[in-house]
Amino acid sequence: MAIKEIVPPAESTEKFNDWLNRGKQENERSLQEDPYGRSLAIKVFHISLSEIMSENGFENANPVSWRHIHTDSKGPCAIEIQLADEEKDHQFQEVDRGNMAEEYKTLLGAWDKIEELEKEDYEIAYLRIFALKIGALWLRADERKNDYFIPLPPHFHGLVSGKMYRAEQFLEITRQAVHTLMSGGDTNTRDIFGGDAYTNDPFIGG
Amino acid sequence: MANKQKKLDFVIQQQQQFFWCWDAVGTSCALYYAPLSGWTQCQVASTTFAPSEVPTGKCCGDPNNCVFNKIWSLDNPRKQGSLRTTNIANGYEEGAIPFEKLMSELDQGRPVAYLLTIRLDSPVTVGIKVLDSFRHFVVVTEYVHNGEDQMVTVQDPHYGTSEMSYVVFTENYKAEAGGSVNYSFFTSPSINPL
Repeated sequence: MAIKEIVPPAESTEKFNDWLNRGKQENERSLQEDPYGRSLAIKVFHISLSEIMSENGFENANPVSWRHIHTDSKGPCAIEIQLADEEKDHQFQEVDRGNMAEEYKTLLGAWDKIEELEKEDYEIAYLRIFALKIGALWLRADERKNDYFIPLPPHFHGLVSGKMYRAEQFLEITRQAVHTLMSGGDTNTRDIFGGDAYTNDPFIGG
Repeated sequence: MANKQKKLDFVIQQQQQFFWCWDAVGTSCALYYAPLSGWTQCQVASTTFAPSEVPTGKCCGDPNNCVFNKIWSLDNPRKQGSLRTTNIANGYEEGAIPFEKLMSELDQGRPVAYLLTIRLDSPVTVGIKVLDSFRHFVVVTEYVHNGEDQMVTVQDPHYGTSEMSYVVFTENYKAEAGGSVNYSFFTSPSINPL
């Protein structure tokens, strides 16, 4: 198995460097202490729930940003740069200080020892399904059916931290999670027989 | 305007159930104001939905079969929600409050919670149900106003802590193009803390 080397676009790296330069001294110091330095960047994908429920599965997931994995004086973090679109250039999205950056480094060292992954080369990406509260490392093979997913905490739906799921297995779990979302959120849905698109209580969320 | 910043000593709890962002936000705010109050997420849920079962509550005794794992509010016109349950609600406004007002609240040591709506790219249908959007509660506990920069720290009961501009937070949270703020919720110390 090999991890494909992925180089983020210059615009994304430029925005990342802009962010680094805002706190230059502390960032330069921490970069020297960080074995991953500024070289580690992965794509972030989003996928619509309707795609998950369709036959397409994860085929049409959209890249939305780059995550530049970093460590600063506050600890591990991921600086996310949103991709350019028709209306705007690449732009700074956020500094994520959640579990993802730390977990990624933990897992990185273990992947080359997993026999299942020896057959192919993989691109490492991050899949975020906000509605389902799922975040996972996505090992992307040449074909989607050969992908693997490793969920990152915190998570629900019976997912296990650090466990590697085959694409088919992970897709089934996410489909079940869509059912959970819609069954538990009775007042956050409408029926197909009519009514306004959004007739429910506007004060609730979960 | 001179550079200004304020950071609250606030810890967000990770939501313990899939639908409990409202609960984790309310519990975290309650513990911020009164660390010794002992509020837990299961207590807040039980007190909210079945006060007679407090303090044990079904969710506290058997979290895996919690019947109160459902979406709910922080506050509403009927004075219901986790901020009401914990007695720290201080009103709300529709939409995202101006950055200056957020600064004022944080300067007074008061975290501000928000209800975000994320509209789906396309509706999803399961059986006879259609879902167009979903909602999520978070708390803002820090700002940095540096020249034109208006940065905030968002504490999310699922995603944890992240830093971003106030505009990104209110319009494009987690790179979700369909995101917006429905309501901003104010908090204050309980008059009669537990």
